[in-house]
Amino acid sequence: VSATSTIDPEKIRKELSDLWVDLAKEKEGDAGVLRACSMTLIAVVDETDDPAQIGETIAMLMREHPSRAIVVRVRDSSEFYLSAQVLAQCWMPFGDRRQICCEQVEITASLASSGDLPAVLLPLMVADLPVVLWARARAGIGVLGGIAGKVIVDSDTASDIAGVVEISKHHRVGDMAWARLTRWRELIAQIFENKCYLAELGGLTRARITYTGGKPKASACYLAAWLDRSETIWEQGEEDAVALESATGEVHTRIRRTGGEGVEVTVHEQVTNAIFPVATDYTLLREELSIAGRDDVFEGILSRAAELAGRFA
Amino acid sequence: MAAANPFQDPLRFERKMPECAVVIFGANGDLTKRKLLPALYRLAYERRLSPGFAVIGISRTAMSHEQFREKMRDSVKQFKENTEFDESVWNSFAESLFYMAGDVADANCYTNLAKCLDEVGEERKTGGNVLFYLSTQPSQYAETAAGLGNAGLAKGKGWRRLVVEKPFGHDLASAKKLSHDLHEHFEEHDVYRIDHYLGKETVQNIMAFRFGNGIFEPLWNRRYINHVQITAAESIGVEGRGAYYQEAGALRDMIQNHLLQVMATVAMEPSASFDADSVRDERSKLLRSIRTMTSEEALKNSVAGQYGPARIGGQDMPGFREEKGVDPQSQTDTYAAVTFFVENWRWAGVPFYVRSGKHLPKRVSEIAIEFNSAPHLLFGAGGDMTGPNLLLLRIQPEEGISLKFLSKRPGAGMTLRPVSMDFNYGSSFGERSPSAYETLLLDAIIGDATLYTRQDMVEASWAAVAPIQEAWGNEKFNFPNYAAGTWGPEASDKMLARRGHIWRKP
Repeated sequence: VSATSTIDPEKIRKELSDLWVDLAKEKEGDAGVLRACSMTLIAVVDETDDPAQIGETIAMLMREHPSRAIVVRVRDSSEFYLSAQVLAQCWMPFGDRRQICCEQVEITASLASSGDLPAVLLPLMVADLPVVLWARARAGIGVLGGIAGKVIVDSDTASDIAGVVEISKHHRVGDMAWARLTRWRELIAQIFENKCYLAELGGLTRARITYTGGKPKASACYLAAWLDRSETIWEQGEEDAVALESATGEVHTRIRRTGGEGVEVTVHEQVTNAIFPVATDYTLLREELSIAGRDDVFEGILSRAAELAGRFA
Repeated sequence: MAAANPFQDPLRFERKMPECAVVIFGANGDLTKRKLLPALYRLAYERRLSPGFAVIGISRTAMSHEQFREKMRDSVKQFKENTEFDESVWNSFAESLFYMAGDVADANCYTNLAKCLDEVGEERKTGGNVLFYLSTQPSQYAETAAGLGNAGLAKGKGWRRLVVEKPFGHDLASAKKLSHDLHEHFEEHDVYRIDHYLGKETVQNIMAFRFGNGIFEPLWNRRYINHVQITAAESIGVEGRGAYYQEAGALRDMIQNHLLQVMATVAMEPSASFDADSVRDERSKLLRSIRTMTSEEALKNSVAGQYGPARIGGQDMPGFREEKGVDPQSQTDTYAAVTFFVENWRWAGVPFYVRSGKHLPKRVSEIAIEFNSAPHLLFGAGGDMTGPNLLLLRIQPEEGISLKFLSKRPGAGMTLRPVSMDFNYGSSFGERSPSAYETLLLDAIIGDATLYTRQDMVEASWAAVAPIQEAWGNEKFNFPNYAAGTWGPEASDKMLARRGHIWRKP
């Protein structure tokens, strides 16, 4: 709607308000536009990040977590620069009867202007609803973390669990690298729901984690910390895999990716196949946004995971 | 006490699924093909089943395990609904499918089943837990339960549960007899009477809506609610099931079970906790509070209907009596509407209008809660445009909740118009809602009977409709009394008009 070199939050608020009037005018007849909002979602991204991809992720999230989304694009510049525009994310869930829309504010801020951001953003928070910060770019955490109830990071891309530990000292934190593990963890937990297998768990003292790439990602370190075996063997391989073994190397449970979305699960000799849908920013954020309170399991293994990750630093 | 699984994370994982074998009697039937196996496949696809899981199908047809798997594969492909068919997931799932031919009337069937359960249990590590699912003719329920009991299968080293499909009897006496027969071999807490309506997300959401929010419950009583309408309409006729339907009818097939359970969920008192017994105690209490009608009241407060022939969209539709397998003089109700009253402090004097019918204009199930009008019409009478507040709980096809209220039309003057605030279940959470059978099968395996019907609930709901059954049994109806594709007989509209109400046209 507008783009300026400085930002007046009151002007943005008026533009947000006008947006709804315009949308209602566009949609004539009895079926009006429905506004939905369950939180303020602040996404801090680098200006170089693909705007279409970020926009698409936020648009998809709006359906399950309708929010006022504020996308802050951080420009790597020492010159002062701030600009904003307001738009709407709309969809039509009831056929052609009713349109649902959420508000989106896009702010571009240079690093030099980041100190001004809290004052710009505070008036834009939706009252009485949670505020979540998706720190895709770490630059924003310092200045914006204070206004968010939860900070979501991705240590698989930043390879920095120690940083997550630091953030957790001041904010409630969620890590997309941990959410990336949910399907793996759930499958392991499901296997040991079987009382026969649960009885064998005490003898499975060794975890074998196969990783792809040069060194284990944060997710692999989280997995090892969560499995909490007395010995963890790390090995590089073609596909991600995890196995639980006895001290003598007898494999009890093994889960390995077989390419694409497929995984192969072997428990003793019994082999089954399952699907792990590819984790995207959207699916990972969707999971993290669903958790408003404490995540005791994650918080419980965070320090241990950071320690393991430190060995590969 | 067994050690707890240290890997569980209830915040992020779906519910824990214990190992077990599901034994389906009537494995060659329609329900197994259309609902049960597709639901189990979807659970497998979403990794919801334990690795120690197996299905043993039983029916009279001779088939090998492989032939059964092939047959089920075709069914799952056809009825998988909105889940992808994945070859590798199917192949893994198919390995957990087993079949044995057997006649439930033959004692050998149960001896063979015991052997099969041992073998499958050993191979699949099902831990001795067995869910017996009776997808057979209702007349075989007692016989099958007895067969299992006599063969020592009703008890074992793990848990044993029995799932029974409706109808649970055809009247109060037969319902009591059935429960008595089942209890000869299974404890009541191991009997799971399935009512797939209670598995629907919106029906479960009624409790979340009522008891999870502070603002609605204070209004949920005779002081603010004028009346309640519960509708389950089908746009199709009996579709080749005329012979079965002729013995059932809308009152028995829908109102006595599904709709009275829905009504109980809408009207029950808050339970002390969300455990199965507390919730079912409250539902049962509500059903027992339904006023028992005299014969005269039963005739006045109920309407039976039967659809006649009609032409819809250029197509000739047969009347019920012209359907295959139906007696040309049939007195079966394909439409039933009843006004119930609940005799307690919360609901005294509030009519609950419940209707269900076949060949109505559209397929829709909903609960409409109409609130009292504002005590003084400050803005003048606005004709049809200013109706009372209405809360709509939509069960199907678009599960969700809508609240209708009045708002000022923008501009000069004080003209009001109704607006609707909508919550759509599917689009609001963006996830595929599990089918009722997925929910209920999971519940039975987990041992959560909250959404299953208990003996006292079944008996209370039969008692509520018994006077109507009796009164209708003595009547000779002048059927057909509504044309296919309309909203039912005129008498139904008159029943509401007597209290100044009109049926909603959803």
